[in-house]
Amino acid sequence: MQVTVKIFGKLRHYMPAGNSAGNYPINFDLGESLEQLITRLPLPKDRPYLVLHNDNKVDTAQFSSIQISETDDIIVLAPVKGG
Amino acid sequence: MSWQQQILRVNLTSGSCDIEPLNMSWANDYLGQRGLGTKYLLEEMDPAVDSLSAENKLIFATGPLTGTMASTGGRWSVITKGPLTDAIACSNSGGKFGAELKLAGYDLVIIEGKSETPVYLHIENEKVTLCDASEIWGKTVWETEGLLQKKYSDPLMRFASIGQAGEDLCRYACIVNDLHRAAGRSGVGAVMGSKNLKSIGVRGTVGVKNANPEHFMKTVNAVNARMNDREGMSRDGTLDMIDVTNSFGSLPTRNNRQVRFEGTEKLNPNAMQTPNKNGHTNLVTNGACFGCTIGCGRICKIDPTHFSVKDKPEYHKASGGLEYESAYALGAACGVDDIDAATYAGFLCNEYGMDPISLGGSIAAAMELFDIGAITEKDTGGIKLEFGSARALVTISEMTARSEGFGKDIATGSKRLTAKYGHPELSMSVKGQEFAGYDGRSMQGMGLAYATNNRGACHMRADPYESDFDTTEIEGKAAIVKNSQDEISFIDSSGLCLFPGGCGWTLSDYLELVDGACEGSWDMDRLKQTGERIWNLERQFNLLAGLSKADDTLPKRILEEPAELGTGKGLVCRLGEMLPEYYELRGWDEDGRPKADTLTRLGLN
Repeated sequence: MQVTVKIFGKLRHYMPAGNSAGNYPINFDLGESLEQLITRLPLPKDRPYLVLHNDNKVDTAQFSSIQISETDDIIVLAPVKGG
Repeated sequence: MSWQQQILRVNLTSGSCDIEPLNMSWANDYLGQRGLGTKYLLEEMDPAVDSLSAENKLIFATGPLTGTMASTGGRWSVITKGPLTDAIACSNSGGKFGAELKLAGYDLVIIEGKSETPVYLHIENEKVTLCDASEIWGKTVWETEGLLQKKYSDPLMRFASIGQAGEDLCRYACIVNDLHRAAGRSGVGAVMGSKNLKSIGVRGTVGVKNANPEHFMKTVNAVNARMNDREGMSRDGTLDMIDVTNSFGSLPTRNNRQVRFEGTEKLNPNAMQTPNKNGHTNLVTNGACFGCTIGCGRICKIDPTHFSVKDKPEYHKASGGLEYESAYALGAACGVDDIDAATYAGFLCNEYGMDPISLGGSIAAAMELFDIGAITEKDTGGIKLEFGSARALVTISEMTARSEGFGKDIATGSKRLTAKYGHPELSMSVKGQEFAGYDGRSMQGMGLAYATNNRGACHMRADPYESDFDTTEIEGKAAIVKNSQDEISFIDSSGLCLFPGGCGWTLSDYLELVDGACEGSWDMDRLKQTGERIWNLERQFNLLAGLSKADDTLPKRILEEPAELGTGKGLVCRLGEMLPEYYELRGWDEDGRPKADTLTRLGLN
């Protein structure tokens, strides 16, 4: 199964070439958790990020309790400021 | 020390230009730029004066680090009473003009009175001349710079000018320097226009002194090394924010009716950097202000086949492009997803001298008035002012820039516009100044920051971002907003930019630079107290100008209409719960007036 994670803000720089729009397709197995999915994303370990799952902000502690499905809307953002 | 210790006072009524010593006691208490300019303004002028009268003063102010080797040390500000808000206006710009003014030997230039005929000011170090501007009055900013550059034949001369919007007293006219940088907000360009002052051209060669240059340069290098997270800002500029706020549900869309815009993929950094179907790429390169090691500016070209510029070759060259705020205001706020149309409207803002945030916010309010039938094509001169119409955006932007037809109404700002047509609740503004690109329902701290900001709604005077992206709960927001307002007041008075704060710098890095420039007597306590003093000084100005607690509020939509989507779904801004705590933390009474002991503590009584 596959779900496309949207990755925005500064984190886009860490995506492989060809993902400049911020869409990152990733394969997963039935029953896999959000935590397992996030762990496999090429995110920098020293940068903060936040995760939106189906329009809800998810705290890190909740990652392991959320099972992923193909229709999920998953967005990973780097908090930024200014404008 | 890195102050020049002198100011230039120009009286346009009498035509006098005098150099005076800087009040160093005030410089020590208010640092420079925003703080020092506000101190001079409040000391010299009754805040109750009409903002567009000869009695208002217009202060161009640098900071101690402006014109030095410190990274981003090119910032300068214009301080005056703003015609958009009738409150204190302090509008901050970059580019190269501010550094040149400092290098000419001035911490401040105070403009007072009003000239009978159009003039411009020519500064070459101590040689200062008021010159006849009849040949450039009525010209755009771009034409003005071109003509004056040709006249003086000095490529290093820098200009800050108004376009026709400033001459015509557009309430959000800005002062544009270096062609596409601007003291953008609150209508400072209209004040310049009201004084018949078209431009200031400056060339400076006296340099900036430092008592211990070796130590200062070591500090500059050490602090520069800590700016280690700037690649994103260089590559994508501030526009990177648009996907973040859109996903989060905090991107004000269609006059804040919605919090998410379906067209962001056509406006975001990827769209800006990807060739369109004609093979045209919007982004040409990035650009940097004086001394900047980030380079967040966008230098862009409009597709020459686009309807907005098809027969206008003068717009086929590269110029200042969309940043986050202009993309929000000229894009999402109006429901427009056409990057070339929004870029063109942004070009007009630079060319004619208008604030793109207030222009977009005012057009968005007019589009909602049109949508509900409060105005019709009869009012707009035949324009179908519908949300999402790129052609309407382009046409009404041109009419506003040139003060034509319904554009004259748009030029009054959304507060006056919506009041005229019977729906003041549709102005998404605070104190008359249009919102920046953040919705105060999913970002509760930003809602409080908008409401309490001394110059009206603004995203650059507080830093609740990290907290707001973390939680919509309001606990702790009042303290975060208050403390960051104070810290930013200090940074805005230093001559440095705020953006290094998003690229690796902390407050300590700013402190080290100020300490190095101002001879080693600065610590964190003094920094924070200076910022708090400046904030309270601005508050005093506003109270004397007639503003009150009633002006520390938000539009009904943000206070009563829950967001439909995103992380703020079902929420309104809980301003009423945050504001009393904020006043208490500030040491203000329940009516928002600084208490006597607060004023005493800050040396303000």
